[in-house]
Amino acid sequence: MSAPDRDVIRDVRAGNREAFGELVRRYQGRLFGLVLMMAREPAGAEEITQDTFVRAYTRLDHYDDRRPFYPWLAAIAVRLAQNWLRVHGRTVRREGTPLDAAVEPGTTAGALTALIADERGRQLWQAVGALPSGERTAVILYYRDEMAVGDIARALGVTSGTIKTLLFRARRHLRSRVEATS
Amino acid sequence: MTCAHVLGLIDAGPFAEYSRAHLEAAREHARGCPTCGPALAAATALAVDLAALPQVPAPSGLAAGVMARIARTEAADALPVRSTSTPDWASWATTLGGLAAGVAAVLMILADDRIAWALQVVTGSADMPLPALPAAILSSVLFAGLVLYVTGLFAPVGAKRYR
Repeated sequence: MSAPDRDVIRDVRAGNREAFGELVRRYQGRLFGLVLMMAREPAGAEEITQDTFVRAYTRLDHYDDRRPFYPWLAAIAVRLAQNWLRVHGRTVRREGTPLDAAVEPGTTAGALTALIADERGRQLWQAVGALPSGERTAVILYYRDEMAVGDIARALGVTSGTIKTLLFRARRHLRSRVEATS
Repeated sequence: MTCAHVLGLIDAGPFAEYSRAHLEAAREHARGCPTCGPALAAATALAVDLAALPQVPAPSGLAAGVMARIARTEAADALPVRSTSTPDWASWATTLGGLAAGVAAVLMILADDRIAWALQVVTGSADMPLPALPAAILSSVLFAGLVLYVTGLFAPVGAKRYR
């Protein structure tokens, strides 16, 4: 049974740098998936994910260990991804590839879904990937990562009402897509 | 609960935001309703599917890359850093040089006959306010003070950091 996050973090704060590797291995998948859905570019997503963990390590003193670790980590990732998009989004648009393009081979979602073996899982990722950026992020954080609406709002820098609205719209879009494909 | 209530609950969601009593009442209604039953079932299924979104495998080597970067950052932080601020001697030079130049300038001004006369008029005293020092000495002190001041002002900023 792996040690709770709080114990691992206590170890890291006591000077055991290698203990942080346990947190990285524990959350790298979830974080990478979230960032990939935001950045839509695998190399960029890997860079952002690495940056997130490094920043989390250097700012571990700011983490309140009474709260869950992943939402704090996700908030860092979301901010870094938004910064990355501000810089690279313009480049992508200039080159004629819209950032919110529907799933196409060779784009992030194509590369992403190739990583998922299960057919239904692939279809679901494609459906989520086709959502507008804000809805996409809210859906992943709420449903897949099981973050509370309040935590998501803090991570994205918006109100809880905005998150609920994004989730409401996302469910409508996904329901329509599911009905259309079935 | 009516259909309007149940459909509104489904749309407003997420289910986790509702009380158990609310959800149970909605399920109770949906069990016998041909409209709300399928709608609630579809919404529930969607929530279950989204919760089960598969993990995307992180790139191999990501964890090792993170730990390597952290190690490099910590190694860099451990190196001694030469100050990038102005060296201490420069601060002293500007202070002392400025002080010397200032004093010399004041003394030179006071040594001027016209100024001395004006001071006598103002103070009502016949005595010279300060002993008259040779102009050459005052000029030298003024010049040296200015040189010291300027040298301290434009002292090279500390050497590059070792990192």
